[in-house]
Amino acid sequence: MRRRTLLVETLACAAACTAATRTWAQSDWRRVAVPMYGPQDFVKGFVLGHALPRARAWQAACVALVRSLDGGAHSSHEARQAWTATALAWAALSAVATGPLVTRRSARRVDFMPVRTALVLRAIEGAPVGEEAMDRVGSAAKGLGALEWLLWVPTAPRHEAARAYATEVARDIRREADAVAQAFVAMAEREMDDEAVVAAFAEILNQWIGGLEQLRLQRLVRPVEEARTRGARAPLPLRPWTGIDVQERTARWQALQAAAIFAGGTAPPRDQGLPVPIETYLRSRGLNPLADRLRALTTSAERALVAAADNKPASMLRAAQRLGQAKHLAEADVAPALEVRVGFSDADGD
Amino acid sequence: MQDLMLTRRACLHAAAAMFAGPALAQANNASRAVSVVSLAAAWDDADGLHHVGVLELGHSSSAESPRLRIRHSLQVPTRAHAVVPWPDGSLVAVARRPGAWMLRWQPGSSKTAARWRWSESDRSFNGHVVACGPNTGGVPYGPRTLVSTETDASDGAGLLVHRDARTLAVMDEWPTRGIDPHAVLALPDGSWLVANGGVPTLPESGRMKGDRSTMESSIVQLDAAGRQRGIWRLNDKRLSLRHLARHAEGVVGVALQAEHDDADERRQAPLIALWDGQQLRPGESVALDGYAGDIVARPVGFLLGATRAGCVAQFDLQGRLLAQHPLVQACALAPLHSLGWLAAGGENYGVVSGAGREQTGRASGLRVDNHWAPMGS
Repeated sequence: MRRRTLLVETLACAAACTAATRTWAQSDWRRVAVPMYGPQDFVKGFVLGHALPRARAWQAACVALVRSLDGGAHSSHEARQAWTATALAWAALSAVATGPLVTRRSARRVDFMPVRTALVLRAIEGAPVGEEAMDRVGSAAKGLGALEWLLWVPTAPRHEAARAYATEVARDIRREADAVAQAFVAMAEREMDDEAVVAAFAEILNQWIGGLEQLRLQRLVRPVEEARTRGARAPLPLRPWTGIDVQERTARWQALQAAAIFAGGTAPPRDQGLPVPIETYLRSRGLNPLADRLRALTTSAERALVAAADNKPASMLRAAQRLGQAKHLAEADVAPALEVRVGFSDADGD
Repeated sequence: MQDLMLTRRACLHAAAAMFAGPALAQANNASRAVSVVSLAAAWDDADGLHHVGVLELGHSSSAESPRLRIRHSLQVPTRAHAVVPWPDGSLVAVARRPGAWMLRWQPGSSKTAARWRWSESDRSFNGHVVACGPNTGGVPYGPRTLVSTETDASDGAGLLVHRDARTLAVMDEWPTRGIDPHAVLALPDGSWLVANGGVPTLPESGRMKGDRSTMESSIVQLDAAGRQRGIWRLNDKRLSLRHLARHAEGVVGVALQAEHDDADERRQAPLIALWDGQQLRPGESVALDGYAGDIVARPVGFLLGATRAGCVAQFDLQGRLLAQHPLVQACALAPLHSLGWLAAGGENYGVVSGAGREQTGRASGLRVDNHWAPMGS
């Protein structure tokens, strides 16, 4: 078992290194053959090359966060930097929320929005310590949102009990990060039968589409429309105190893009646990025109999201529109071509 | 009297010309009358963008196809489900589950005039809303309220939520004693009937269905204070009870969606169940692919959009299949006068007059969603 874990770790490390050093042009698939991948290659590549490295990165960020708070650095630059790194690593991981992120309901555990400050104050009074005590604290009083408030807002309490609670919240997030990383390792080690592979393949594609929709609706459309409803000009921030909405959008988008579009020079060989982006998978099935359309729409969305970094309503809605087009293609053409039924689909009834 | 009739005819011709544009106006040289029905609806355009608003369906006694056109449109961020006309001419629309928004809009006014309400992070809309009015019983918060079916994201529990119809703000929440609540019906005695669809899902994975072997669908009757008056289930746990319509004789028809693993079981499943206030029982098994969308009551019984079978299916009050009217992707249904009805399925639509005359048409680039309702209803 230990040997197998080491193998998983090695493959994950190789996948992460490969992904990190991919700076050259896209695959010249017209001249170089793309291997014939199966769903198993796609699933294995995603878990080892996409999910696990991001879970590890989140875990490492959580370790740094706990360390900064254990050292009494509340409200210091160090603690705030550690929080930001944790939030962005979480955004990158949860952009395509699969496997343990869904079954453990990790988003609810660590990133419930909006935080309810009255509940945070009540939780501080309760002085919870340890896993069991933190399990009894409601989602709206802990997680990244609660820490954001405690670390950034001048009027938030700074007394000893508040600092102790902030440290417990960070430890709680870290426990979740540990559990998620372990679960992804277990997922990579597990021998899957055909049925399980097909289910995992469908889940990844569905959750990729769901990730596009989350980014489009909750992080681009809703902040603009909700602000308009309230008579405000500026989009309503999801992170009101740190203002990292644009950075989070970027982290999410980069993860979604990495899962969809191939950025390397040569298509990844089979059986090495390297991520097989959806575009590459389509090409391996001879679906080059569809892969080209996916690439074109993703590139268009990328440009619009870069422009939306100005955080202005018009550019945010334009980016949302481009994401909507990519989502529509994925639902209407990509998923049917890969014989995947889309749960998020706009095409089915109710 | 003759003058009055001529005047009326002239008015109808003018309405037809306005409705159908130049092409139909020329055709109107032949003497005939065009009836125009306004419908609160949701639809997608050719680019896949989502809208709510008012559609107009014009039909006549001539051989010409009925015509569907957009009268008022408001773009919305995701697919809407129910769009409900309000007595003051406005409409209330709610997003399809798991929905993030609800809105109230006066058709014809600007987009910015729409009042939006976004879901709290631990709630999602389930696609249906009912207007409470002076004639609706069971309204503890007054006639200017609405009720919507929603889900508590923390545990998946169903909720019947009372909202202020003007601000759409929450006034109260009642548990529906089930998960996945979908349609809701106000009964004349002041109670409410809710269809708990029973299909497990998670907010983290949107509409992806969980383990359907754990399905528990029901209809629950809540009294005017939200207390459970009764709960009914079918023996076949894989039948999801989803949409409701009440017949004038008091029987409620429930549209079903089959969730069996086995394709043959799904195909042969009943499309309708009937509730008489005492019992809930399935209608006869029919080979209509186990999926019913919208349901409306007509004098003879119930009509259901058999979406996957591509027809509107007509059942009597005993749940026996009486007739099938072909219409590709049939789903949205609405009554027309005392006996007729209207149906839509994607870009296709049909009109059946009270005399039984059937006409169909196609609106290229206008895909009508699951439900529509006559304005003024």
